[in-house]
Amino acid sequence: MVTAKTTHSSVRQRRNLQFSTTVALFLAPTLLGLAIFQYWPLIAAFRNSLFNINLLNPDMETFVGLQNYIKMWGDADFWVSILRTFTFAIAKIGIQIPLALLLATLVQRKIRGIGIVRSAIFAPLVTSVTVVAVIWNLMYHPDHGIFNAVLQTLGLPRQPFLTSPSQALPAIIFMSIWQDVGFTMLIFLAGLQGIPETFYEAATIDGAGRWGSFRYITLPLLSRTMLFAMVMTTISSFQTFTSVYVMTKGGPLDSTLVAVYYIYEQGFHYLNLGYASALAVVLLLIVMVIAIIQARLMRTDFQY
Amino acid sequence: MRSSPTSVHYPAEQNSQVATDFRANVYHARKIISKVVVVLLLTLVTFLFIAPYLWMIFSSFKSTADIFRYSFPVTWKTFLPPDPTVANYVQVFVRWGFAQKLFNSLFVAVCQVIGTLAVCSLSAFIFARVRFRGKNLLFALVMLTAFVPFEITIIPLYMVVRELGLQNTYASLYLPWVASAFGIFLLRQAFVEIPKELEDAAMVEGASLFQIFRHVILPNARPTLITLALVNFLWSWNSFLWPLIVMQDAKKQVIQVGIATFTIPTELPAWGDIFAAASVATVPVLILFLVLQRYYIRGVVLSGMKG
Repeated sequence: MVTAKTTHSSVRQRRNLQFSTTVALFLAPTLLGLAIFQYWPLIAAFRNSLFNINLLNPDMETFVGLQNYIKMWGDADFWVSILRTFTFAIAKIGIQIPLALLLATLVQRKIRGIGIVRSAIFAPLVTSVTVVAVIWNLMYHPDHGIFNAVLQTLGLPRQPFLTSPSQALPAIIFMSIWQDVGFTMLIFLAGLQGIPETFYEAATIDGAGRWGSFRYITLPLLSRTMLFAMVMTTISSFQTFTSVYVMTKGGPLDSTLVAVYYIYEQGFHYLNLGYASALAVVLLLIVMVIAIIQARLMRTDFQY
Repeated sequence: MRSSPTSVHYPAEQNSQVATDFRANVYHARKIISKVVVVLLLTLVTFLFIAPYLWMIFSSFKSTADIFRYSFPVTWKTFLPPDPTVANYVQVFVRWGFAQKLFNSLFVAVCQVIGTLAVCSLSAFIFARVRFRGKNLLFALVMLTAFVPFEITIIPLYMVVRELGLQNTYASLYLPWVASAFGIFLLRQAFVEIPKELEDAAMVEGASLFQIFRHVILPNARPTLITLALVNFLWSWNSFLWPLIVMQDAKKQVIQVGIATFTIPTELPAWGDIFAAASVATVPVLILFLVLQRYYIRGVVLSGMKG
């Protein structure tokens, strides 16, 4: 017998076999897919970290317990790469976030053609990191790149950019900021929209100038958004790989060897799968800890 | 008799009027100046963000020799091709087999979109509308996968793909990503918003679950479906790391990996070819983005995740 349930319930709950099978069928592809392609590899990664596995011959694995983790502890190169990645993240946060905020306020104005400016800032976001890296690689070229051409025209000395151990990482960071600032700006735009106009009006009545409203209304009310932006930027900084692979392959002199690239090398060049998995696990933990610390530090909840 | 500027006297009434006018004019002048400054700033910003792409496109029509010849000193020829030629594009398609890579990327992206939309909408529908025991726990487990970082699963995932016998198939490129927490999340949000009266009406007519799904839910969630399709398409088209690792068959390799393997940092590669290849990989995407921009923005904002 079919009964109709009205109001708050969702689809009528006919607990018959046909219904249940349909529900199961609808859910099956998703659950199966996530189990096979997400959960299983995650578990496998943890498990692999306890073994010595050669990429070319994975069946000949040997159980080594926590040896990989002990090796990691003493692996100076790994920790240097972590430090490098951390520097990468800090540089990005320090520059990208204020820049994105500035751009967001700039782009909010209702000027004709502001849509074009917005689209331009977003454009790098939708193109692949590969293409961006390839173009910037050529722009940075010491002899024929456009950056040096412009510098020389302005009478400034040529720069080695990606061929110099001291300039390579900053060069990649700069490019990365260029590409990602649109995303952070978008986050801030969404956040700015959440601040009611009336607050600004009240502030103006109280005599606050542009800077005053910014400092006492915009900034505090954006603290949640800023935290979100910070965490996202940190996580993506720690995932940097493609740009390094395309532009410098970790060089020159390992100056751009970031964490994920190091793991990649361990796994695919030195073919040590178990060790790479252990490193990946540790990297995950580090990123989680940093995210939690950030959340703690920025814990302010401003309400007017 | 000339009076010095500081000792000009006006009759009382005119004093206030002129002074007010003066202040008003200064105010207006300041406003105009600040507006001009802002416009200039915005133009500069716009230029800075699209300049590299323009350089890429223009350079793709220059021969490699010309690119090097005019790279310095800086003239108009550094930017615009003095002798526009499509030789680079021909080279890229004929010698580097780019047409194949283009097809591969397109094929994989389309499969990805169809697969993701199908799989995610089915389960999103259940999560949005059907109540059953343990649903919340299941949903939480699904959402948790969004936090699993790529670097940690990529190697075991590669081995799973091998064990499933999907080595060097197109499916290996898109199948692992078809069940996506992001997609389910997005679609569930949209489905929940659909008024229940529509479903109730369908139920009264005796519609089955699938019929409700097909005729009530899907048509009413079109914007979100488009958003998910676009975000997914772009993500698939732009992927690099996964195809690099999992696809060893050069004939099935995708466009981004193709471009990256053109580049060797120290030697002097065929720059013209690289620009042409990069343009082919990028310009269609930029156009697609420009047309469907608001859907992409919507997708990013609704999720907070980069597409």
